[in-house]
Amino acid sequence: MSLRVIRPLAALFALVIAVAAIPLSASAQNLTGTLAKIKQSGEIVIGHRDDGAPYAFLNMDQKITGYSIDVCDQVVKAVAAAVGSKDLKVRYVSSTAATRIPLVANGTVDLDCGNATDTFARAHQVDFSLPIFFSDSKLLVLKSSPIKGYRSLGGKTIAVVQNTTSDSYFTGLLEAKKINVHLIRLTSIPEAMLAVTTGRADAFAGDVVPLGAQLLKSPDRSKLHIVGSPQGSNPICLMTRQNDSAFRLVVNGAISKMIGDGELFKLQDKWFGPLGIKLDAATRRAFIDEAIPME
Amino acid sequence: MTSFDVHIIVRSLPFLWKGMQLSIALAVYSAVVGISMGVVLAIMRLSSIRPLAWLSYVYVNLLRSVPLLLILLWFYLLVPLLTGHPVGAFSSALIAFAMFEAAYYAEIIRAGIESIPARQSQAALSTGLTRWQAMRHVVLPQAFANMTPSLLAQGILLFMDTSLVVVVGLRDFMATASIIATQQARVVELYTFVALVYFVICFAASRAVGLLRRRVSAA
Amino acid sequence: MAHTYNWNWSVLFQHPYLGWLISGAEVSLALAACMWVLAFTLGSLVGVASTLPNRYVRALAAAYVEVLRNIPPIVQIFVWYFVVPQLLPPALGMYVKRDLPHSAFWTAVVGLGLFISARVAEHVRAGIEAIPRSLVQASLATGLSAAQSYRHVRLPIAYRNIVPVLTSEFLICFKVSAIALTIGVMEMTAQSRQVEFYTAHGIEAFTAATLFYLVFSAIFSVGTTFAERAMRIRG
Repeated sequence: MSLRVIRPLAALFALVIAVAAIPLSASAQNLTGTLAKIKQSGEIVIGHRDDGAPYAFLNMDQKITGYSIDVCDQVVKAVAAAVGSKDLKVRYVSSTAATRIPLVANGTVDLDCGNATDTFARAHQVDFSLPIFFSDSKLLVLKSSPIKGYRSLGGKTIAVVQNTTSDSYFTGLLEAKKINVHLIRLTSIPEAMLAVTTGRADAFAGDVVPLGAQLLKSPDRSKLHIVGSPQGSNPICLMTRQNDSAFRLVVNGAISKMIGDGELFKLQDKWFGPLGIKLDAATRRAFIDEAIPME
Repeated sequence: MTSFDVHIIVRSLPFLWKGMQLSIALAVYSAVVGISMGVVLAIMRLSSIRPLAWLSYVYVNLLRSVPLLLILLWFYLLVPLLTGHPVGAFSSALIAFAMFEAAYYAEIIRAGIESIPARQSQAALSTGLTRWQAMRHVVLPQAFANMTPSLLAQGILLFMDTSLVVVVGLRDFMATASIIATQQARVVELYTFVALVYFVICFAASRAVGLLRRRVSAA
Repeated sequence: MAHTYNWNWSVLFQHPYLGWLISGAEVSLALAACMWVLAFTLGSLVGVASTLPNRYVRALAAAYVEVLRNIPPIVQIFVWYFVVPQLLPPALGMYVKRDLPHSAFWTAVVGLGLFISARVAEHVRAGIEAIPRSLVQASLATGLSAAQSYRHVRLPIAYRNIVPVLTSEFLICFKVSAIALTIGVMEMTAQSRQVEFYTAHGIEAFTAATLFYLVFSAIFSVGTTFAERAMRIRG
């Protein structure tokens, strides 16, 4: 072929390549919000509690570990793929129950990986991912106690820890006059357990996860047990900033993938099994139903 | 009622000592920072620059009108939010105690400075020292010698106040005792021990301060 | 790093949060009042006792003061709440733990009130001892008995002299009442924490509590300034 033909052909060829390449680079440049921030800084900031076992806590080597952390490891992989980054750095930021929401809302933390329960009031400030766990409230009582479940609570004294989901659950029931108990609200789990073992309270109502953890540690194990059908429903979720559907989609996609391939259930068995907590078939089905189909 | 089990205390001593270390560390660091801030606040209050004096007045009275528990909760919430950094509970508590104690130290130091006769600072100024040099080399050293007993007494109160950090989840002496009391079901022994230890430390310290006070006023 | 915070002051006025804050205020004021009644009464008795001629009485009073002054109030309240009921005879213990209405409130009144009473006792003792010996001897020389000398001369003078430190002690009592939240008394600080938990608007909630303490501290200070002026001894 003569040069006079090749040059326009080459130009046309280059143009075709360039046009085909636009979608690839455009998707990377169309990153907004948190994804853009992550790509630009090269790191994702994960908020966590130091003492929220087994969701997020510092282990003996002062390394951050836990169920939510493991889940977030998978989410980070998905985020890295979404921003096209080969080795995305993860910066862990310690937070407390009081600061975790403001820290996400004000941009310091990109993703909170702990034991935050999705509530309507909180959803005004942050967005919640698909639930990664469902927790509920149960009763810790002395084995010698006549209390076998929630129906036998009438007229009894219940200890709760102030500002926990069990606290709000029982306070709500009390105000709706659906229950007749005396509520003692102490400031920590050891105190609430002391209330039961010293006879100040008939039962300690708490989230089933910390209750299980406490029972494991207590030498009073033989004298205490956990009773009651699951009460209330606490969807445990990861938290992200509001008005950022792109980032939230990546997070929810990662969670849905873990539900689809059973990874989430394996992690649940790993972290909650030793506490004697196993989600039943109906709840597992609920996870599968809520997951976004990933085809 | 079952017997008093002393052994549980002996066995728990290592864990309890860890808690005590946190209590002492918190008290010492916040006292140092608090006294430093207190000196600044006292000088501001005594200065002739109206805005500075007013600022110091507002700060001192604000922090002295509010419970320490509330101030602890404030700093626990605010410090991470304002700095954008993961400030741990210990650091937040430290800042809270330092800022709280600074208000009390400021008043002690101000009284101490005001108790130095004007002659002293006038004499210093007449030898050619600037106001700041006079303060630093003549007035403050004498004032500190006089106020040391009061500063130490406030330090003892600060040490007692550190027991409040259990509310923000820090594991001080009392918090560790609570954990053991729960886990070993020995609430009587542990809390009695905590009360006893605090009593011994604070009583001995306040006696020592009393002796010092007598020696200072005799001088 | 952003410094934005999601402000919403109107939550403080919404139901049920406003109700909680008002309830907290009521409990704090009631707690401080009951604590002060106990602290002032016991503190006065012990303070007077520490100036009496009997050596054993003075030693007991000194022990009371030193023990209660040197143990942190939070430790004292925990002892009253968890330890003391275990040491009582079983029937009385169970009554205190279960059947006593507002058990935590009264435990807080006792646990924290006794701490303040030890400090009051010291002020009272200092006030009595500050009276010149000549005045005391003069009162006895006029034929008054020791008890009458206390009642008509020494105590009135002592108390009028210590009004300033007693008012600052009352303000301390008001602030120490917050410690009651550790045994479940839902006073102001506890309620503001609860609002913070439900709404995630911590700054607004804690500001409400702070304003409460500031306003009432100011009211008490002003009120007692008038009392001081009225009671000051001329000359």
